[in-house]
Amino acid sequence: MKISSVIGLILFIYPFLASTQTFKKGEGSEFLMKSNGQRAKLSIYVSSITKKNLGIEFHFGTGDLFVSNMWQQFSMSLNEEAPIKITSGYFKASLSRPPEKMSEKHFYSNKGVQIHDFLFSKSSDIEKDYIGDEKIELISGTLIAKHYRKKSDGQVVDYWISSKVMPIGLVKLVSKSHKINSNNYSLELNSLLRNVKPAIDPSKAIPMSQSTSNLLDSATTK
Amino acid sequence: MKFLLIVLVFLASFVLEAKSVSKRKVDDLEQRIEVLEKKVEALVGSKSVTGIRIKDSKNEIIQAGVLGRGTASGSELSADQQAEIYKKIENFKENQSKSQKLLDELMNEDF
Repeated sequence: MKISSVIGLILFIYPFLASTQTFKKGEGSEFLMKSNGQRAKLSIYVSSITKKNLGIEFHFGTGDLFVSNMWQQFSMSLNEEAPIKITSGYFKASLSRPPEKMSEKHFYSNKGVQIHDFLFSKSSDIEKDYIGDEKIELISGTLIAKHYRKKSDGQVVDYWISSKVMPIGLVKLVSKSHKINSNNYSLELNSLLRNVKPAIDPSKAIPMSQSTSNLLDSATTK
Repeated sequence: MKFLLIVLVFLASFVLEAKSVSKRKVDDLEQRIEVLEKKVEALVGSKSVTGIRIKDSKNEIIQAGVLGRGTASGSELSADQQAEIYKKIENFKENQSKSQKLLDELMNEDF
């Protein structure tokens, strides 16, 4: 499961959402993630908010037999006229170690649907992918959500958005690819999050080690 | 014949009484389940208008594999709630120990 590609996909939603609502620090969503028989939980929440910047942190955790944690935090510039742009990114694999600053090449997955397909486009561009309003049944409840579909390089991403589950807004996401196996996964909203403390403090970030860089290289390339 | 009728009436009333007792037990169990469900709901978290559960992290970092904090551990208890449960367990152990001591004393007095 390539978490970076999942995170990349999530980030694309922000140009669409940012202009429509107010973000509050510590609020977000927790998703159940399934990929090739594996299950995990992905939490996405607002780590910081200023007039010009929005910080979003991702936590990816598995804990059935072998516990693993990974956090990534992205800072995005908020500008009403221009699309959102990622200005910095941080990676952390253990609470006992300081966060590491990511280089720009690690912000994106280089196969299939890309973050910049969305991040550097206007929110109105996303509307062309709109399919219709649909009733989505989740384990945690039932919602009417807007269905969108994005296709690129053999990857088809269906995602459903609802203004009732803000600030993240994502209800469900299904990614399918006949080319890249790791692009076959699904996310389903499990619960809404409140008062989450970010694990990453950007002021304590150190330059990325070669081993972490190699790890992210393998995650962002085929 | 009269005797048979009396027996039948008696049996019928017995069955009705048994049913009534069963119903009371079911009602009682349902009430207890309802109370427990409310307690669990209070521990786990509230729900939003959409019915989607809301988890309050109480300004804690989300991490898997940590009781009360993990998103993948399956537990939703906060550190305070855990502390409260441990305290109750300790109280229970203490009371059990006192009861046992009292029982031992009574046994010694008898013999």
